[in-house]
Amino acid sequence: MTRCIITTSTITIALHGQKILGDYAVGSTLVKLSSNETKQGCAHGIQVNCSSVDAAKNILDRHGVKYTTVIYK
Amino acid sequence: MIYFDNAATSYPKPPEVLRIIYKTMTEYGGNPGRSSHSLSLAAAKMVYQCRESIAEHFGGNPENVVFTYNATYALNIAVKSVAGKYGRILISDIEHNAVYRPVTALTRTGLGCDIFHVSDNSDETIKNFCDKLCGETKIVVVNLSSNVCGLSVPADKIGQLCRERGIIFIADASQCAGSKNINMEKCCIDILCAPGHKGLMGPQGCGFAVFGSAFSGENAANLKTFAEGGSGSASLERTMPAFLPERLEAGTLSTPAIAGLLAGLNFVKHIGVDEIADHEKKLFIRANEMLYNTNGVTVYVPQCSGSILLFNIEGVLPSEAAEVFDSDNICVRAGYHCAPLPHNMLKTGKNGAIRASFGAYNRLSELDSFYRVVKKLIK
Repeated sequence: MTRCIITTSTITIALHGQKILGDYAVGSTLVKLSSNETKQGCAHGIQVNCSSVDAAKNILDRHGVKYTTVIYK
Repeated sequence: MIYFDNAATSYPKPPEVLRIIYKTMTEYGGNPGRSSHSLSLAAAKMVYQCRESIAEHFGGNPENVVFTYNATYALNIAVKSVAGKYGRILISDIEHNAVYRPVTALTRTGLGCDIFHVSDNSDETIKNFCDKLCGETKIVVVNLSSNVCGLSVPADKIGQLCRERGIIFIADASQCAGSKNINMEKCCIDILCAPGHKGLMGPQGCGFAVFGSAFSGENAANLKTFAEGGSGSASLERTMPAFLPERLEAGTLSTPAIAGLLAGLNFVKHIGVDEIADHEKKLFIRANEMLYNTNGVTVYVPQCSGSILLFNIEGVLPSEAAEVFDSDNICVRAGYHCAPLPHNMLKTGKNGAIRASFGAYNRLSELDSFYRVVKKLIK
């Protein structure tokens, strides 16, 4: 099953984003990404249900949470 | 034992602080945010929870809470991350060496420094502050409450004056965090620094600097780094992340100390800042009544009721007095308290003075034993 991960440059941004998504009842899991999954080396991400990715991105955008990209794996 | 040295570090700590430190060591033992396993991520969540609690308490953003070893590191990071090559820094004459020394070090790189006098009258303090402000003033660093005596500064007025002039206002809340309500927005504070182990009742080994919203997001990239190293992210980059707090947090954080600070802060929130301040004030007033009218005792700044009583006993060295107190199981601190500026201003003399500093766990009845030792020391 495909996993959808919204990547962030730091763990604090990921935790902030996860908290905000929680306020909107969007379930998520904090994950650490390995260096082969990103361009800059280690990073973190918020794993969400793939059907909620667009909604989650929208919420993060509205709250100024800077994410990098979305990884499908 | 009677502990009247809470200005150095609060003691004892609430039981929940001890419990959470043990729990963190056993259940959240991973390196926060460095690895992908559950222990590491649980530690990172604990750290973030503390950022949230601090931000809520002081009116900031959790992402802008930078953890340090202590308040001294927080102040060094704050001042040195924003200092440019030119301009002047304005500080007060009640600063601790945690401000006085880093600012002095910066003057050796070309920056200027001015010092304003803090009076027991806030209008007079503001006038002194304005007299020292000049067009070249870029940064103001002020101790909100002295660690030597009861003097404090009107942070809201100073913050407003700085904001109007585009001056960065750094507040040292080391002595009043936990016993005075401070809101960064209301006081126009750009960076607030505090230790975890004093009024916030946490363990030693953790302090923090809360950066205001002007440093959020990509604006953090302009902050000069104080140390560089691992940050758990962007490992292939040669420079620190461009975002707070990781930009200014190189290396592993002390999760047990941060968890202890979280529990300490919860304790303070549960009891109430105003209630703690009232309790400490009652202790000060009673101690001041005992000493102020006692022949042979000099009380410095008796009119400023806070949690600190500074005094000297005629013909007795402060260090000798502290030894006698200690032999009677009473902990006080003698000397200069790492703050020569306020001691010089108060003219305490070449040996400094004796400081009794009260905290949330002290009782009024303890002052009777304290006063018995004072009377014993009077020759």
